[in-house]
Amino acid sequence: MIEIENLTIAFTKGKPVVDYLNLSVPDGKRTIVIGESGSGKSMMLSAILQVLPPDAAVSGSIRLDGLELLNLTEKEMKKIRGARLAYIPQGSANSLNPVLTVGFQVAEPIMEVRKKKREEAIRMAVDWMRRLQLGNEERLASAYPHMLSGGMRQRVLIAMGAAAGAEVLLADEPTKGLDKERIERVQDMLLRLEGKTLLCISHDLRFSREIADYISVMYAAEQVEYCTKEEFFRNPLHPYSQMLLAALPENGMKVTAGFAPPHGKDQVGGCRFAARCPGCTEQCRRTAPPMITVGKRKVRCHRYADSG
Amino acid sequence: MTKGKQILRYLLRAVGLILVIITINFLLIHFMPGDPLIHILGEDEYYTLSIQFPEKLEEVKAQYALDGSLFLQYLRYLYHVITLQFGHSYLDGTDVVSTVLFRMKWTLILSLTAISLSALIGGALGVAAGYKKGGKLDAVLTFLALLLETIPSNCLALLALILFAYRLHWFPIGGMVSGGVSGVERIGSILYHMVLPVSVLTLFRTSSNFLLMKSFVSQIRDEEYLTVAVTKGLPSRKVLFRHLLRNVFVPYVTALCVQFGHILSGSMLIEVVFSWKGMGTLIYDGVIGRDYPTIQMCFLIIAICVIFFNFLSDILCMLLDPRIRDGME
Repeated sequence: MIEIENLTIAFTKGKPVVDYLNLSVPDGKRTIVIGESGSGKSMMLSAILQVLPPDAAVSGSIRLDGLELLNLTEKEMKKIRGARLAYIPQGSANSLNPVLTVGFQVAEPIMEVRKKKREEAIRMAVDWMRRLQLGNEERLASAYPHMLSGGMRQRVLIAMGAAAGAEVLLADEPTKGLDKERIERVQDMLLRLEGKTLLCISHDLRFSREIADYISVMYAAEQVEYCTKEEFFRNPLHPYSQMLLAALPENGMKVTAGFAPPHGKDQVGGCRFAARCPGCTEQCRRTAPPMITVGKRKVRCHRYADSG
Repeated sequence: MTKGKQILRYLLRAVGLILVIITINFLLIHFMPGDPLIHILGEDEYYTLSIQFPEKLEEVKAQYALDGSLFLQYLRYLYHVITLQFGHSYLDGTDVVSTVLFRMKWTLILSLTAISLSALIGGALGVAAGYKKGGKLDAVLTFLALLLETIPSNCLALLALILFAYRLHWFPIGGMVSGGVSGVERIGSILYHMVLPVSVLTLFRTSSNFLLMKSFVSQIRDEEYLTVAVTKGLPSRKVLFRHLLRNVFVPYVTALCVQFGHILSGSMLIEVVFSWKGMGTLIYDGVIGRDYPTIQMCFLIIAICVIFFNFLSDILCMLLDPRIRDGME
């Protein structure tokens, strides 16, 4: 269980990249965080893993099963990374070391966390990849990253992240840049990791619909909606969520408000979404809405002020 | 492509290059202004002969194999290169091959020490500064390195000579070994004579190696796979050695091989300042005296040296980086 409370991340210059974020990730469930580029999603993952650049200022609270991560020393954090918190990086980025074999890189968390010798760890890594059905595992283990396709690279990264048996997996856009067929393989693989807690950030609504238990929507550095997948796709509450779903091809690709820069400088105090919101009122421009609980859901919009 | 095939390709390229260089080497020296006969005979003798006894001059030309067309001379030269006959010096008549080999030994003592020391020191400091870019160590070392880079090496060499040899008498003013010593004493004397030139050379090479290594490290430090390595729970030591340094080795080894290629010629100015009788001073004197046989062999050996270390760097990079092994850039 990860509980994030009032998480704020800011760099020396400029507005916070994550602003008063509250999110809880239930055990054994898959939570997907949806949001456009620049909404602070990746920074949130870096903050949980404590690998933010040194000039980032972090405040608030991030708890893993009640343990406050922000208070830990680097040494204590090293024992958590890989062992209890695993990171699954983006496959499109330079996430694998180009001069080390795939087998060794997948085995590395096993060597580190479970204190295994190199050969044994590589053998375990091959077995692990076989369990996740990556295909041709022996050859894959002795290959180098540049020999892999984008889809295979992403699946290797998933195997690598989960190799040491961490209960919580943090994935950064695992479907980015992949075609439909490869996305399906990534989905299958994540579904095969049933029982793990997954916190995944994504742009991909279709993928989210396939694998998510819960959906969290972020807009301009803050969370605007949190609910189960079913509720989100049946009846999104926040106007931003509604617009996202309306823009899906199967819903007619109705792009209502285009893309405005997130929270412009003239917006002080008001709702950050006000400039793009079709139902924007005078109140929205003046005061920022709080997170309102609607039944079991949460939404940051004045419209639902009475339903709470 | 298999490893062996690729090595063969590199080798063929190296041999081809050497052939091209032999040709250029020959042409270059013949296009240099000045007639070597002037130096061999002396100016007076040369002009007396050329005006009064031109047939005698032709005889001397033939004696030094300077007669015939350029192409004929080229073929003759090619034959001699292949059979390792570089003839005798125009200046003092000694055998070129043995002179060059002797001088080479002395230059190698100097430059091998300096290049190896600076590769290690500059590399280590560069890693330390690049890993903590913007830190105190980085600021101080970068300032010093840039300062050194802006001073010409012969200028610093002269300053060192004035201060440590002339004023303080800590080290000899020049030369390579004191006369009349042998055995361990001789080695001690050589080391003593080496201190100043090696220090100056090392200082310069260290500063450029430091700047190189620093920029390589700070570039690779921002790669995503280093963050990923941290998220696996690896200690900083393993992130540094296993993930960062392995990737830095490829460009650093390439840069070092370029330096090793200049191992025979790179210390010329320092040799002249410290009157170190190595390849540098040999070339210097040879060029001034139009000593064709000597400089031709020197240039050839230097060129072969550069090509050999390029070849070596190709092979090392291939072994270090699987992407190069697969023919990717």
